[in-house]
Amino acid sequence: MKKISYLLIWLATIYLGILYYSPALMGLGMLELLLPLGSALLLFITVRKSRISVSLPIGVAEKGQPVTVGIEIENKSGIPISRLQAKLKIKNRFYKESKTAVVRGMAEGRGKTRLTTVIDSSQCGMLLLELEEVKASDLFGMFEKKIKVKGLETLAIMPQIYTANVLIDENTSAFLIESEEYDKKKSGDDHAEIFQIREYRGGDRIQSIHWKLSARTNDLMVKEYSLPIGSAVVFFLDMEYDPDAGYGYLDEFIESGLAISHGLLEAGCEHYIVWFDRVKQDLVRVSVKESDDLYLVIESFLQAGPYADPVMMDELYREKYRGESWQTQLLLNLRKELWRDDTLLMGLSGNARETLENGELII
Amino acid sequence: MKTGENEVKDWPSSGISISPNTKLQSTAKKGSQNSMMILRTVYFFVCMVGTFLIVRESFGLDIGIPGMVCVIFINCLVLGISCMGTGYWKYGLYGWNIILAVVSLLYRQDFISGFYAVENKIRTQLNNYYQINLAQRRLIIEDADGGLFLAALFAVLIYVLGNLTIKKGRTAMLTLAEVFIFSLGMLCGCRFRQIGLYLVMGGAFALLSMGNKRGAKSQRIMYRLGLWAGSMIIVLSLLSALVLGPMLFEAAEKWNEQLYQQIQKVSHQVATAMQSQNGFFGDHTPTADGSLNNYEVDQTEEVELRVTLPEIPEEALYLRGFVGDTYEGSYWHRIGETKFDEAFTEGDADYQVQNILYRYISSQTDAQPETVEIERVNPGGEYGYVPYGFETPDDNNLMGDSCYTSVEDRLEYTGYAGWRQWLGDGAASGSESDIESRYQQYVADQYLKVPINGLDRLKAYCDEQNLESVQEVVDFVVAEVQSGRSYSMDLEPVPEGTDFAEYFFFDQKKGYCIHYATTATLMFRLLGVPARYVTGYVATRDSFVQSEGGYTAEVKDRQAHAWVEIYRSGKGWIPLEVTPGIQSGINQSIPGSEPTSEASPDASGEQNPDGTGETEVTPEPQVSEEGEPQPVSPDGEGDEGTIDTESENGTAGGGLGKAIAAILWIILVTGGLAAVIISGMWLNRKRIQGERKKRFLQKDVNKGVCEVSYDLYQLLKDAEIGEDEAKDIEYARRMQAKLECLEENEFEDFLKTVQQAAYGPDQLPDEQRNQCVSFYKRISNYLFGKMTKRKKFWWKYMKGYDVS
Repeated sequence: MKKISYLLIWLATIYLGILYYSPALMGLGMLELLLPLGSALLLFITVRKSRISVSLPIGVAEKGQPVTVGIEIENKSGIPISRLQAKLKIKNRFYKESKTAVVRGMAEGRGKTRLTTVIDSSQCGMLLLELEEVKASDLFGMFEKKIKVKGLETLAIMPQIYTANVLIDENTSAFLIESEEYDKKKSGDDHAEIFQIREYRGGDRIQSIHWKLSARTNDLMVKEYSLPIGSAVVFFLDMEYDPDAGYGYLDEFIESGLAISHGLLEAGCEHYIVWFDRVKQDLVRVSVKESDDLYLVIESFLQAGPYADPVMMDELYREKYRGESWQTQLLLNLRKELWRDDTLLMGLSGNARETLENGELII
Repeated sequence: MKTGENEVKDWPSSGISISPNTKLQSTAKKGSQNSMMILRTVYFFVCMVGTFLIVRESFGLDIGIPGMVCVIFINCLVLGISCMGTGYWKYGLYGWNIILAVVSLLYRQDFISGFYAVENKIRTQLNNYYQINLAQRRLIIEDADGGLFLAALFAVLIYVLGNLTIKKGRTAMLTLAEVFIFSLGMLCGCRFRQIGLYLVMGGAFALLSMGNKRGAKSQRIMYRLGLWAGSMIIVLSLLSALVLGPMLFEAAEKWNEQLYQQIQKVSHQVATAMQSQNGFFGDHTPTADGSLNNYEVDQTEEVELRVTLPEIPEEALYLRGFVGDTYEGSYWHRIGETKFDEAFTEGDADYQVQNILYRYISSQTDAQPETVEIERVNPGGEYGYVPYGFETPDDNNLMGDSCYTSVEDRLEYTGYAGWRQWLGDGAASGSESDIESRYQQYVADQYLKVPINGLDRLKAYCDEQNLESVQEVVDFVVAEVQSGRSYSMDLEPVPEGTDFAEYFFFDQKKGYCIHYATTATLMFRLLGVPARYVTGYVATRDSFVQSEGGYTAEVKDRQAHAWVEIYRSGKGWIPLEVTPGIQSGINQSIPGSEPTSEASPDASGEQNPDGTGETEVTPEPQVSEEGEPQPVSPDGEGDEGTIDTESENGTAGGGLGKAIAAILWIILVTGGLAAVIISGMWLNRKRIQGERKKRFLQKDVNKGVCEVSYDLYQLLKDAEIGEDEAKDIEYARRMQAKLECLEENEFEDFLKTVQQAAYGPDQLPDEQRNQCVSFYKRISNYLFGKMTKRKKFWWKYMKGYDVS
């Protein structure tokens, strides 16, 4: 519309200049022609000498935490950009919907300028920030030039970690781990495998002295036994979804899973968390022995995503970790159903947090 | 896949919310806001100086440039300081405007005179361009040049536009104002000078580059943009003005001729269509000016003039208004001053020429001249309506040799109401002045013209006549226009392609004064007698009644009239009545009236057919020394007196100007209507918001909260997500689910607050009411953001909902 109006004004000026044989109007007509051309040329030069990238100062944030995102323009020409508009597509990997943040502003010449806006996410997950389109305008706002850009950044939105009220039953707590795999770094109590032989230290048990070796070396040597690798509880997180219905309660699913895991830790139960990574097309297992391990879980888990095809996780697990045994198998799915072995333990409908914190979960 | 009780619901939202605001951070120095404001002020100053130069040059105002530039500079400086300043400096502009207002009040006579001086310049411009007769206003202070008035006008302009442009960076109003001024100049036929145009254009563009745009802004960047834009504009302006413009100017010469001819053709057709007998824009009051048509004339009893004489005149008083020289078929062209001024460079030439009759009569009698007072109540034009035989004043309102204009309410003239009794055969006593001698030739050159095309029948008719003297011509013309033609105002429209005069004379054979006068004037010219078409008023003898000052006649609208003037050397222009029945009353229909002795003009004995003393007579080429009349015809030997009226009257701007004027008028009216509608909608919105605010913030807090809830429910229904059902917790949950902008359970909390307000015993605190109002606004903004453009318009302007 602006261009059409300007064109009409220019034509009217030239027309009147010819009609009234006026040098003033004709000169003005030439000026009206040259100004946008000059402005367009400056725009072209500026755009060629500019680099644009996504600006994201932090990589991790919490749910609901405002995060400043935007674009950074490095303009090597001396000419400022009067108007810049950039579209930043923001998508949570766990969800279908994406949103577009539009940032508008000016950019300095011979310097760096950041145009930022604030976003926040009420859902945890991995946010992908992709620079889609950048347009720059000339001095007078008549022309626009699209700038080709490529920029992708990620922002991890951490779930809230709370603790489910978990009670471990006797069977689980008394479960002796029988495994053919042993920890290569730590010693344990399994007499089936010796971890290492070392010199006697004060406090070592007499029964652990290796008499034969000690007699040979004239030093007291003790045996350290191995620690079998395994947990009493294996906790599956199943992200299978129905394409027609959607992801379901994904945010609550993640937080509920972490809450249960934290609850198990608080109850003194080390366990494995297992999920299916659709990118790697393989199971991923993380051993959770302390609270810090949960962050490892989150970091890996946020890279994964829901999948539509059903996955028999328990079978895949048995196949992959043959020889291992466990007492209890938990499974949490996207419909907030918690299964223990093949029995539905509880449905976390309504407020899952309230249910887990205030209820009792007996494993 | 294991299934259980919980079924998966719809795809949830990603939960991402994005702020609508953008912030800007730059690695460069922050920069001073003042630098940007200073630069904007400079560009604005340049723009205003350019505007002044355009106005000054276009209207020919005699205002000193340095003085006015200083005034503009001071205005811009004060404006700039008040925009940049804080504290009391902000009010600097108000103080300055008060000073200007006080000065204007103290020197109000200069101010008013200046206004009139400027108005007179514009009137002169319009007169020249449109060939109309606008009178000059009398100045209170003679040599007022309009400086104070223009200074005040620019102060107002700078105040209104400057705040928007400099402080807020909005250039739309400035652009509109400049376009408006330019359009006004075009309407007035102004020719624009180079420097002014470049300054306005350059200043406006530079301000545009520094304007506030959507998104994050930085003062420093805007300042740098302004510098870049200004530099580029200066370079390109010099290039255009000094190199490219002149090149194009030379190349445009041949285009100019071709285009000019094309435009002339089109504008003539448009002007003819606009002013034609049957045209849409045709004038319906032909006796007020030179327009010619067969429309129904709406004559009223409204008093137009009051004429007071010491005694009742012996005969009707003819009061001259419009004088036409060139016949265009649908109108008589007003006599312009330009040709007369070119032919007669003496300063009082117009006074001398217009008072030839008065001087002649004065020389023929010893009687004391009397004074006539003309009160202009509601006349049809800005004319002085000087009666014949009375002296036309010597001032700026003399329009060459045609008429005297005025806008005064009361005018007095001195002269002889009964001048005809002294209109003898003899020459004027005293020698004829040089101007008068030259004027006779001028008359022969100017007032024998007829159009080349369109009067074939009338020309042929006149060519058949063999008339030897002026008197014979007069008798013939008067008899012919009246014989067989009846007076009537009930007329058929002139058919397309038929000439107005010929249709009356040969076909319709009925008409009223304009028909008779037009046809007679053309016939006089075709027969070699210089003649002019005149309209004005006739105050009949019997309309005078005794009054305080003597005898007063109320001249009414129905007494508007048209007649002919013929030139008699030594005596000037003499009126000739050619409309039948006028002497016996005004505008009576007398079917088939024969010319009476009263209607016959008294021209006998004044033109000597024998040729003796012929130098005193009108220089008609047909009256030779041998007494052989040689009627001048446009196609014959004596055709040097007639020229093609089409090219003669096609001034560069005449018809085209009218066409552009009409188009611009339509645009202005449309724009005005649009502005009215938009203003109305804006006012309506403000009204709705005002009422809403009043209801929400009323003294009774509980009632205020209830009002918020009523409005909210209506708002939700308007957004098509509301429901008519009972407003319970379930309703709140449903709304909560639909409105993603809300915090958890927020709608439920709001509902509980409303219920407390409606049914609870205690008054809620103000804070809770404010929260409810804020809740309402957030929902309104959220829903607004999700609407289509058309619905947004309805939401904002029809419903008046708050949006940010």
